[in-house]
Amino acid sequence: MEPTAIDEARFVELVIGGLNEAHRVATWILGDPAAAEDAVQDAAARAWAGRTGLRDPAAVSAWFGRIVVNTCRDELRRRNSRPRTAAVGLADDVADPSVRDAEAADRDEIARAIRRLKPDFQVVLALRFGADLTVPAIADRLGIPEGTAKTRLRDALAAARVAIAAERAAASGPREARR
Amino acid sequence: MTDPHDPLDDLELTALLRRHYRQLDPDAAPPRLAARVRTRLAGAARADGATGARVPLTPVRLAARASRTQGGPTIALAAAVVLLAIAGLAASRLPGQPAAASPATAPAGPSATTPTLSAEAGSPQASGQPAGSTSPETAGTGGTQSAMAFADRSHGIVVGAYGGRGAVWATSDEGQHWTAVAVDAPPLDSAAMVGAQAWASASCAGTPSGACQPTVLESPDGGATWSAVSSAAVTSLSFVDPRDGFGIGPSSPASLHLLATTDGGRTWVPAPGPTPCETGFFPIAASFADAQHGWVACGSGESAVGSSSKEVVTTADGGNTWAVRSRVSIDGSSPVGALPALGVFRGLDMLTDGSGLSWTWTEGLLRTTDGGATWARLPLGTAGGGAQWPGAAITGDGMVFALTVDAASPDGSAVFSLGLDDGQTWKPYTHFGMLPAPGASPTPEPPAALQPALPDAVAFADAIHGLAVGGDATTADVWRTADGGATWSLTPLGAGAATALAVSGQSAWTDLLACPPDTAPGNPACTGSVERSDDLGATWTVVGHANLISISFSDAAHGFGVGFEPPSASAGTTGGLGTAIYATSDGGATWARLADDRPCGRFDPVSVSFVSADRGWVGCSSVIGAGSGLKAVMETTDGGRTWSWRARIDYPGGLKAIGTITSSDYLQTISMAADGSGLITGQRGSTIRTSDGGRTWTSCPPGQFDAYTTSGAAIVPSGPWYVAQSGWLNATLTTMEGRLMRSADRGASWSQVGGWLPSP
Repeated sequence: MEPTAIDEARFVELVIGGLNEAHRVATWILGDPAAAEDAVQDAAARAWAGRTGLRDPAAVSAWFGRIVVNTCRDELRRRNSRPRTAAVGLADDVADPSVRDAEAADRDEIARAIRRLKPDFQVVLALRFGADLTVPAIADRLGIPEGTAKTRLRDALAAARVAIAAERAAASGPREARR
Repeated sequence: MTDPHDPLDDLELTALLRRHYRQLDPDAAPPRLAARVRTRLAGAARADGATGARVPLTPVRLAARASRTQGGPTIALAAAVVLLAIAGLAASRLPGQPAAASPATAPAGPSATTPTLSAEAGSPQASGQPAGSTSPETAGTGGTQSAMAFADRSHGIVVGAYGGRGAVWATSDEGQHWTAVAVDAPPLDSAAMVGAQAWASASCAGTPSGACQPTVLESPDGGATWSAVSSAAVTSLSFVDPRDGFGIGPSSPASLHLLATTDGGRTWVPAPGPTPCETGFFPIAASFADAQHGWVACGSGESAVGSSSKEVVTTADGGNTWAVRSRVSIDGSSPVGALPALGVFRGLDMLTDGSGLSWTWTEGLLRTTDGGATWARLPLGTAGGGAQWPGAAITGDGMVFALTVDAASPDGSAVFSLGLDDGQTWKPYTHFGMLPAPGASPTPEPPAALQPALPDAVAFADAIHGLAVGGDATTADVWRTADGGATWSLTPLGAGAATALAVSGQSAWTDLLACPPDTAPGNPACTGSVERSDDLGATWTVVGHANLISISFSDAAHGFGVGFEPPSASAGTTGGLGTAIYATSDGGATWARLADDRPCGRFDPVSVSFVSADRGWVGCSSVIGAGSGLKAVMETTDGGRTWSWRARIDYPGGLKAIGTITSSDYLQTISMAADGSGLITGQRGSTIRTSDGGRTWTSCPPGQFDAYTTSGAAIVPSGPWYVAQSGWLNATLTTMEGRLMRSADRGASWSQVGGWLPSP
């Protein structure tokens, strides 16, 4: 006889047990705890809808983790197709640059720079530098070969370097102009 | 400020990125996230015809099921001790367990994955109270439990807090019954036991200095009476005899060390030799098998995604020298032995032969049989992924005890049990105890009185003669009434569960379901025996076999049902995936799928109601939503050959709506009368009615059923309508009751006419 599929109650508990971690990962990827909460709820629903056939508790957790990442990437894609009001607002709410310390300036620049990257790059950076996953772990989470993960991480870093430089150039422009 | 035009080097770039993500890290998960997801999945379970069709997965019902299954009053009781019987205990027979059972999460436990030295208190936060966790105490029941120790398989103690002060629970019968005492000390976080001698300590870890006085207590009588013997700050107590013991505590304000006592806990000094753990690690828990042989579980500040760098070290000379037995780093470097990275060490309990346990806050228990070199994860059994594991113990004769607290449950803490059967697989151990409040009488005798068997379906032959079926997880019962539901007599039907019921004349049908462990009716893996009675439920005979969750008969021969394909060994299937409509024309002996057995498209059939062999309705349900279930109602006038839409509500952008029907709640039953009036009951207790053949549905008086879960409905032709419900009798959710509501005006107004009260 085949092993029986995971029953509902167990499945629910496995997903519930993974929520906090899922929320952290989603926050790293999306940059916003509220958006992360939405994404995690959607991911849980998607996990439920597709649970048929899972027989191993360990597989449920790994699989839920993957769905969380995919849901977040979808959300990033969706954002990219809309006007980036949030990013603009962030840049504009700097009333007086002199009151901001350099670190805060850095932070916003990094956030804006990351938001310019394509979703795949945002995801891999969040997993590497937010969740502290190793390259093999990232590959596993994304369901891609290790080599691909490694390449993607390298490309993402290169893209981030360029984007950060661009943000800094843009940010320093108006600041100097005001002086 | 950095020159904006300087290119970043690699180190700068990664440092910036790390800082960026660190600042993004939410301090804690959103407080209601788990509850929201639970609700959403509960809805999905109901709306998902594949497996959820008849068993509501609302937290309340789920809890009831769980507690019924385990034969004990569980939900909302603070915690319970779970006995794990490790039969055989032969180390070599323990299979390697799959790595991660679930991602690590300490529900709202901010420090759980990042143990740090608390210079202020000089104590290890990771070993202290689960500060910030969802305390079971908030449920007003049994307090908070933090540690456990057993002297032998019969005698043990659990320590923790009740009402903000220390409390101890003691058992002398393998955890079946517990007596609670309050002690004059801060919340306790450590326990040890040798023979009748017991120790407990409040290390005040994680508490601002001054707010809490560290205390070590001793009991000469197995935990019944206690006296303070020291004000040392020490936790993870481990005694090898009545005088000699070890613990973890500060040797200086910011450094943790192994402490030792030789006078029964009165004075504590740093143990000889170097600090047990390697550089970068600090001691979390100690366990000594005798005065020479000991183990220390070490943690580090390094953690990520629920994993932590950790190691287990051992001494054979009373702590003078230490050797690493196993080590794991989150970056994967220099592993020693085999130790899972998941989880943060909470405790350790080792035996002379080198076998033992360690446990982590969120990832459950690890077992070693080779002195701590290799550790295998013990499966979590039915415990939830959100459970915390504050304490565990192993006795010399091979019993393992685990204390679990489910902080993730929206209803407070819940109890899960697991056990190891024949060294291979885990099964629930039947004995577990609930922990009473100090001053209360010892654990009350079981559960039967508190967990009555309740009906899951109801049907009436006429205005006064009715039947109900239901039961607990192991036994199905039949109730009969001859006075319109005012009083009921109960007779057992058999082992299994029954959730479908139909009555026509003097005949009645139900399906006695046998479901695999950990599944419930509404699962394709169940197998069912169709039981028929021709004397209105007095005697029953098996007439056929089918896995049905809804049955409706219009005469003694013609019936319809909703169910699953049976498992087929030859076809290699474990049962149909979605529900389908079946029909019988020989009184229930044989059931055949209708040619159009899923008329509602992607909606799953859930319930059928037929008023003749030709005319009937099906209620279908689909997918997920936060309390919302997509619904469809179809009618046939040719015995199920063709179906017509009557009402439908779909996703925005899905099929266009037909008629008027709410998306609120999840469809559970449909009951129709020949004049086209009828009822739909929802899993969450909502009831809607129609008077035009199912085209428009309106809510029955709002609020009428809110506190209850509707379990069944019955319509008497040209007579009254009945709805059977079950719900919690009291606010502490320890006792359920059932009640019967009747409407004489086609659902417009309802009044209670009877009930199923807790068994005497």
